Amino acid sequence: MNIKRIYSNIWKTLVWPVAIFVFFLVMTRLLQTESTFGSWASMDSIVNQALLTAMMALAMSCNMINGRWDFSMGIIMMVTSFIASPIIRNNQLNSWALLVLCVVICTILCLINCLLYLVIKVPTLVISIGMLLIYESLVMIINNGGGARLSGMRYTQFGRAPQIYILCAVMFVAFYIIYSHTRFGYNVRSLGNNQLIATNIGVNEKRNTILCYVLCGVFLGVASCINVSMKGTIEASSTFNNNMGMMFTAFPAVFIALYLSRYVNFTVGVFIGAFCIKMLTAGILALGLPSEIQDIGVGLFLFLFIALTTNQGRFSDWRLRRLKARPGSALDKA
Amino acid sequence: MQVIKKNLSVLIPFLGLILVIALIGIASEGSLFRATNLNNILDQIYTIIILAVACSFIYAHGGFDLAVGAVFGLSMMLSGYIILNMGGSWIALPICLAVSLVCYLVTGLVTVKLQIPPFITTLCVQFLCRGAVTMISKGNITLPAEIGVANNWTLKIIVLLILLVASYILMHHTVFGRNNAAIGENPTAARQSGIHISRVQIMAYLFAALLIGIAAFFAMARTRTVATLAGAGYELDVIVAIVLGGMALGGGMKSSVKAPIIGALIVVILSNGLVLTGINYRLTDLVVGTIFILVVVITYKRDRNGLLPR
Amino acid sequence: MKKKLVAIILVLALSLGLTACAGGSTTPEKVELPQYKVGVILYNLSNDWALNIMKSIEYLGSNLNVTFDYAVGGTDPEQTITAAQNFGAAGIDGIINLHPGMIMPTLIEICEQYEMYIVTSNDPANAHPEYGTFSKSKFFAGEVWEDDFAMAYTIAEDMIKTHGAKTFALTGFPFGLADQMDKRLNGAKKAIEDNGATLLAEGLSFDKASAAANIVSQYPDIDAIFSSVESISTVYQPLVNAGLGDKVLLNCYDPGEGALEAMEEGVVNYAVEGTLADSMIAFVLLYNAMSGNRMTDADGNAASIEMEYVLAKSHEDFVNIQKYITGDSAPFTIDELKPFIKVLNKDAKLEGLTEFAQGFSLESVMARHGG
Repeated sequence: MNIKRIYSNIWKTLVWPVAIFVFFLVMTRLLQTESTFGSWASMDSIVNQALLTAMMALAMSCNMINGRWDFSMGIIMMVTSFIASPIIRNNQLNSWALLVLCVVICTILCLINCLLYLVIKVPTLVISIGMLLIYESLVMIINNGGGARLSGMRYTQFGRAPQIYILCAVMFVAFYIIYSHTRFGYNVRSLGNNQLIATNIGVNEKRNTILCYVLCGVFLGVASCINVSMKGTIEASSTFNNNMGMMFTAFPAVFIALYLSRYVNFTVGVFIGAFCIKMLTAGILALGLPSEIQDIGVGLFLFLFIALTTNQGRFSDWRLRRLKARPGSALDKA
Repeated sequence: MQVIKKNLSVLIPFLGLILVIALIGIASEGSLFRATNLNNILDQIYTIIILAVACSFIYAHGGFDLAVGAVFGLSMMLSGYIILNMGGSWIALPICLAVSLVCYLVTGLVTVKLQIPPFITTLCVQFLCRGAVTMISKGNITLPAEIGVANNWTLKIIVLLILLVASYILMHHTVFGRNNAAIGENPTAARQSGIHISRVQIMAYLFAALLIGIAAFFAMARTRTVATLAGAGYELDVIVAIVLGGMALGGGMKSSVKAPIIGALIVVILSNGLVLTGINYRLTDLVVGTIFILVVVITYKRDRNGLLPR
Repeated sequence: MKKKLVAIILVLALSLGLTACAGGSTTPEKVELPQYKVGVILYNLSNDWALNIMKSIEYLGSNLNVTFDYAVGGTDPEQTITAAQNFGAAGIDGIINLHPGMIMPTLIEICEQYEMYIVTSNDPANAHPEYGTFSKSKFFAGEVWEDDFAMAYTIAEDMIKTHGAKTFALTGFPFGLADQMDKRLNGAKKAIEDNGATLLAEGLSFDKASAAANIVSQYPDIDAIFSSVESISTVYQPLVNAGLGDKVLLNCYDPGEGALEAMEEGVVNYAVEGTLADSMIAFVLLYNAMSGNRMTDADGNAASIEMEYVLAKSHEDFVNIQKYITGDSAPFTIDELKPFIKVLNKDAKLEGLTEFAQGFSLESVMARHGG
């Protein structure tokens, strides 16, 4: 790849977060709001939130790359933290134990979804809706509906810097290596591109699917650990909005990553996507605008981003046509 | 026997429905079939059945809809807000229709013209509409009592029958319906056979919007109030109804209007009936989820190509 | 077919396992009283607010031969109406509805159809334009409520006057979810405006935790955060993580177990409790109505009882709240409430119940229960 192309790709990737950052930085200064948008502390908080979203997005994308949608991820995270936190608290364990336990529980729950999928051969989206309902009951049964509560540094190290950065960096590198540099990752991509051809050339789809769910469980477990560490207390919720809402915040990051993957590695794209969304919501609040506008902001941004990246060819053609139509333009001369 | 075998895939969702009715009927010791409860079921199914039928037109051509609940909510909220500030309950229906038509026209145009996957477009529309609802809402809106006039069963049943019959005819007995399903079956083949794909898809979105607007109006008449959470979760209810009814989410020629109707019936009878059985509230979702998976196991039509379904 | 069977067994095994985990429901103590079944509609069935309310009314129910069923509703009118209809069809005798919203006329219609009684708790229905009509319905057992606007005003004003707070942020659910929460937000806003303080940000979102984290990170110099709901699961941890726990004032409604530590650390400065107490009084009104002794005022209007919240401003206050109100002992014992139950005391009067309910305070509970 020539150096010009590399620069171009970096530019096309970074233009979005940089534009959002600059926009809100300038606006908060112009409007002289009392917020500290752009300060180290504020960006640290945004990055922390983005890392949580990115971990969820990576977990979701383990299956989404192959067209397997799963709506039960948010509730699996919740169930995991509800099971793990009393075990950790009652046995006076530590953050590492929390991490391991979350990963194990999430992996088991994901494997239940996987097993059902492989046995009954119904799209994962459909199975996940049934499992979502079952897990919602579970949320009310575990701890008698009392939720999760872990406070104190002993348990919540992975909710703050630098531990969260180190953990997520390891996870990003692991995902990058698994996705881009292993036979398994290659098979995932080939199954995602064309299921029939991939299976015909000998890819074992079942084994690949099980591994995808294991990977998904590991990432979801890390996300669950970070979530409970950041929040300390998680209220059990039997309402749709909480459980699905967690999923809907991670979807945009995956979509953005899928579109950015033509310029940059998918793993980096996921973080950029999550970072953009979190910066946008924080920026809106920093401007003193009511947070109801956040949803509108995220919707508009996602729409603009996808529309522009999908139709880049069309915009280039249109620009070219306009330049050609202009009398005496450089193109005419050429 | 041959006839039954041939129509097995059509019959299985009906069997699923009968199974659910029989199970709940026995468990509730017949309370399910009391006249007052049948009236409840009719009341509770009204919105979901219209929304599910509406969205089946979108799913039929291979679309996906995550916006239905939010558009439904925005139609109600904007309509309620205008009534509250300008008066005149009669404007509720036109506003509900206008809002949903505009939302779905935008959704359709963006999806089709900018070639953005419908999952993403409708997710964006969901964010936008839900944001708009919370922005407009400064508290629960209480509507004038006269809007309750539309909550009249004779009127509601006539409207429902008209909508269902019109949907059936449109889906199964018109060129538009067949083309819409053909796109879901194989878009490339549909294009090559001369179907104007974008036009058909936008028409499907608009027809769905028409039905969603009507459903929003009758929901306002029923509750006489509008809340910020109006319509939340309907996206999932619609998917559940369509799947339980035996229609593939990927659409295609097997798409039908009867699927969302049967599915909606199963969903509502389950949620209504389980309360009648006196089951512990903590287990309600568990039982619904389990029955959902069991019904799907029985009714879902699998491809025999050896590949895992997507 | 074999695979289908395996799948069915898998799902059933999971379901049966979970069913076993659910445990049995509370068995009512057998007393010589008629059996009633009450349906309770709450917006969430599993947070501390809901669990406290369930615990209190189940305590009363176990002594009065009443069993309970629960349904989600209260924030979505459609869901609330569905819950009421399903309760009616299930042969329930009465409904306790938390957060009546603005659908009371419809709910009364359903209750009249099924001849079941309804009482509202936590938030009044008396702001409804049709209140004058439906409050006379024989199936409306009454309403018990606290003045949420006033309590929020008091908290925000105290933050300004006692602690010198000048800049504020709001957090909680968006407007339009429940009138009760809207009143809290409006009360705080009014106090901020009246006392010359500044409202810098409104972090009102369904994703309360992220909104709270953003407030803390974007406005680290803020003086106070007013939360319209429970704040331990949203604002507490971001404040602690940012090292702002003792610098930013914070309140909490319906606090759970975690609030004890938060108040001791000084992260939470105000804790409001009392919703479970008003639900117990609402239960008494409903019980009287179900047993044919509906309590009304002289004009035949349903009872409307305003109660006081309990506000804890110190760790010691909160310890007492946990000990005497939300802990193992309920704010009212069955023996204290029996004099207001007509089937047990023919002389029971609405005036007496109102006076007793209005006397609810931390001090009164401690005095009654030997504190």
